[in-house]
Amino acid sequence: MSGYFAPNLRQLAFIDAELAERIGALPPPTAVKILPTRSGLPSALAVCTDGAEVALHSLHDPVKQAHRFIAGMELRPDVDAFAMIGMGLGYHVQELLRRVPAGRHVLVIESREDVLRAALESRDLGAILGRPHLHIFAGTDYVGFLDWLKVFLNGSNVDSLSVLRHMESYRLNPAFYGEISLEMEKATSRRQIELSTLVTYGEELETNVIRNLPQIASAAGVNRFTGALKGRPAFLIGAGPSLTQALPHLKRVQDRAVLVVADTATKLLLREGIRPHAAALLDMTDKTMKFFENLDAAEAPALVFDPDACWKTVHAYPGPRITFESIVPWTTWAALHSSPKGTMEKGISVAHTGYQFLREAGADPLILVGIDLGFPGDTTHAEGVVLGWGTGRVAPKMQNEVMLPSVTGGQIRSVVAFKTFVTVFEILVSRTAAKVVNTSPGGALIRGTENLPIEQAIERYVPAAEDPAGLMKARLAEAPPVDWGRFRRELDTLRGQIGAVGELSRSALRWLKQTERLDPSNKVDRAEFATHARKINKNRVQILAQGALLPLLQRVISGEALEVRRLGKEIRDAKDEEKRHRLEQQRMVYFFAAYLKATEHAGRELQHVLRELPA
Amino acid sequence: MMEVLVDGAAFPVTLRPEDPVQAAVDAVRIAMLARRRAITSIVLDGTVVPAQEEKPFFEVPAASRKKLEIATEDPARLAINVVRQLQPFLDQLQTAHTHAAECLHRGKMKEFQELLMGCVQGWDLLIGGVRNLGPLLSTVPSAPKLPVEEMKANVAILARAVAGLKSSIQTQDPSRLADVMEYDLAERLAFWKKTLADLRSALEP
Repeated sequence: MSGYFAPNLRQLAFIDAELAERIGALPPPTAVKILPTRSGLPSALAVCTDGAEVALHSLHDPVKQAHRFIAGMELRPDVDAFAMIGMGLGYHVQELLRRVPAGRHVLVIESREDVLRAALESRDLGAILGRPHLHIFAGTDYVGFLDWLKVFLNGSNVDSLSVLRHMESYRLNPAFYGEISLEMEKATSRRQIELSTLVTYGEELETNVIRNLPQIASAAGVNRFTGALKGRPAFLIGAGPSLTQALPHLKRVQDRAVLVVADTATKLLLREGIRPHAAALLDMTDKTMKFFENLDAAEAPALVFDPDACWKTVHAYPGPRITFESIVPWTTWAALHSSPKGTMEKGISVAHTGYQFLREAGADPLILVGIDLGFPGDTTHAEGVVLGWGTGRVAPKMQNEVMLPSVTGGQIRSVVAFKTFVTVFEILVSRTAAKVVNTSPGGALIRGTENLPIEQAIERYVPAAEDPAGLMKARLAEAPPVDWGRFRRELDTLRGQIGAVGELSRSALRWLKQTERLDPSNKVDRAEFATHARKINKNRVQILAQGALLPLLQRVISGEALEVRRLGKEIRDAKDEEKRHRLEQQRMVYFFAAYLKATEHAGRELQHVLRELPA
Repeated sequence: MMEVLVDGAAFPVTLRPEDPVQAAVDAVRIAMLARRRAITSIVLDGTVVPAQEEKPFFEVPAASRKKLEIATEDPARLAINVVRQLQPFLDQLQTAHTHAAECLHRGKMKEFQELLMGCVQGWDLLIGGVRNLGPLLSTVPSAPKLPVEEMKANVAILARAVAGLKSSIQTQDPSRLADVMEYDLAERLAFWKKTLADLRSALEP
């Protein structure tokens, strides 16, 4: 082994310690041959999946080749991140890093871990691995890749990502690279959609979680159910068309396994004489109220609700409630001042919320029913469910229609949103220790699940009589009571702190307005400007010092936050001082206006909560 | 009877009525060989006879034709002309190779394919031109001896490079394909450049 390997591996560990450990543990590559070139630098031959041996770089002058390759790329200065498909021995990556503007992220994806190992062994990669904002993914774990990409996008300010393909590397694994290229091309636009959703619905979501604070405090946490169903089968029931045929089977097993149902199908099950043990609720809009309308308290299953779910539905729900702490900071605050609830990832569909609850409870196997995520026939839902969207009929041509692989081995008509749901399910399934069984007879394929008709799933996995209702009831009864006096005091204090941030923002905005009429070329005005600037900065520092408080406010101001970020990029690229100064001022206005808006919103909602709190 | 003119002057040739045009042409060829002149064009009754399609023109009875015009040239001069034409062509071919490799490196596949076709045709022309030089030079007493063995070896290497080109296309190996274009074939071109330059300096007065 060359002297390059150990120092390269150490540097790789700074980027990704787990990856460095994995690559370090690999045996020396046998399907990659390192060859000297006439230029004195090494090149490599790699064996492809079809058995052909191809050169990863020029066997004469790999640097010249890399230079030409990157010179032919359009590296737009307004792009925040560049993703290179294929690392090879890294010549083109090094050239890319040399060419991209400073501060941009560079992602490198190498499907062949043995190629990465060969690169670490054959060259000094210090210039590559030591570069800030470099991210490396290696391997062919598609789900792992999606996760890695998500973590990167969430942790960076990246709005635009340009995907570049190293042809030679692409040749080694075209199927994987093709799939991830598409994913990356979509990822930033999807993130834009998520952000714009947050901009559009941020206030509504924030209203929901604030108004839900007493219900979060008093609900049982999912942590009460951790491991409660260990080794026991459970059913997750969606409202897909195949639920209609599954109803008689569910009726048969309702006393033998826990049934968790999606909100829309709750009333259908009750009408059919099936008593689900829990219903999941995720949707933020008040159309969800009809899913539980006229529900009798005695028959209402426990409601597993997302803290962002519609507060009116949560308030009106007649049965017991279960919730969790999510990435939304208000949920942590509520748990801190009542009792810990246990954390769960936010789902992107109600079925995901139900799934995560059952996974937390340790159910094994986890049996999916009516989760078709596609349209095997001419109906979109099971007959008799309360429709959350559409008319119930499959249109001849649907908006955002896609074809998905089906459990039958063919293709099934579906829509883009369901495709995303399938992907999220696949990620969740890959992280579930328990077996997951999909009983949909003609729905979308969810990789990682066992496809079985519901009769066989019951026969194989639900043999013994259980008392699921008793088990759920016992856990619900364990929820500790809330000290409402203390809760009220904490809320009051919080409202005061939020009000203070609002005041700081208001006065800073006033001073900013006054600076607008000042003439920087006038000596007296300049002095006044300096005085205002000191006061404005002081307020800003005071606001930013409220470390724990600010995350509670930030969701309402997603639009302004995006604007502040956009201005930040403009300031970074601004050539002249005057423009930079003007942009800085604009950024300040957005900053304070955003916090004023957020504090006013939170103050108003907290006022409602305080009025409605139990004595 | 068919009139025979060589370089514009009447050429005496005795033909029987049944003799084909070929007989007249052969008589001129023998005479030109003795005079160390190379035939450069043949025109029969105003029609230029293509070099590769002479047979149907020459099979007909001479008695049925009116005029056979044959142009000749000093072979040394002719060889110099061929070399002069080939030299800049080699430079163009070299540029095309580099450009093709660049296209591959930059992922411009369509452009590369067009250039590749051009390069293959270019090599055909080059080899054809060099082949024609051989018989021409054999009639020039002052001509230098061609490095025949070296040329043969080079043609063999060229054949291997072209095989490498085909195999790289089949296995979709762009780096090796570009290497063949830019380096392996370029080395072959360098050999031909030097050979032609040596030849020209030996032939030119």
